[in-house]
Amino acid sequence: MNIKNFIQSRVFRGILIGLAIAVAILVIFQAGVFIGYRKATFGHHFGDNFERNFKDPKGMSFGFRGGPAGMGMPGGHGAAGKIVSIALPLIVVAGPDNLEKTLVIDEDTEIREFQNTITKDKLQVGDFIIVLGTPNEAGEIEAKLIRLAPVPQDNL
Amino acid sequence: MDKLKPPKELRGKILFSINKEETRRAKVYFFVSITTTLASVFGLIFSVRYMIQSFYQSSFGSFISLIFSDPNIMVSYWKELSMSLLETLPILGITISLIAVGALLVSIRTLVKNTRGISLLSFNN
Repeated sequence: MNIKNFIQSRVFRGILIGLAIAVAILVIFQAGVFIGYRKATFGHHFGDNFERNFKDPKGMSFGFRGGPAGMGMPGGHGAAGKIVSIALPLIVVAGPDNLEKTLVIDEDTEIREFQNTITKDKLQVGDFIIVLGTPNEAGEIEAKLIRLAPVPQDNL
Repeated sequence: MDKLKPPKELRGKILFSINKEETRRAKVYFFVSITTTLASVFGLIFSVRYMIQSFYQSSFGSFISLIFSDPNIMVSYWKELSMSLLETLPILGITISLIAVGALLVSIRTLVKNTRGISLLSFNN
């Protein structure tokens, strides 16, 4: 069998398909490792700093409604939920999974309501917000974008 | 020794018995297929419901809504948005739903095959 026949054969096509599937599997696996590592790192910092984030120095809790035990690993690049407490520059948000995350607001944080940019003073307890940011080593999310949104209805 | 000749009705009786057994088997497969299909439909309903619930509980829907509310701004924050979407993607719910869809398609295929089998056997009879 010469090379030309081999290249046009079904065996060669099967080898190419197998290689493509192997590459796809490896890429998906690596993406999972990447996401899982970041999530686990934030979850580790979140758990380590849980008492510090949800209790002030006087020992009072910031709307404590349950700890991270038994919950899924929290993500550190965003949050969505109702504001349960505001102590600028920190804001605590409780998501639909009843997990509270601490947000850090700075001068670069963009806060939007509909098509307008608003100031952080307009945020109130009970507001539903969607946040994009980056995790820090204190188990907090440094907010880059906060969007006020209507409270989602429970369609179930 | 005289050759033994089978009775003339033997062939007809054998073919009749085979046909009867095939018909019985086809009916059993048909009713099992119907049961499996119905179970798959219920499984699909519950799995899709679980998947939708997971979408809401994980806040994935909230992050998706950002793309529609602020498409221009999302270009600036595409890294944080894509990481948030990947972190909140309800993989278990999606996987269960896909398995349920696969089970339903296989059971429908089996049901159609067995329905054809019963029809052919009824036609031959």
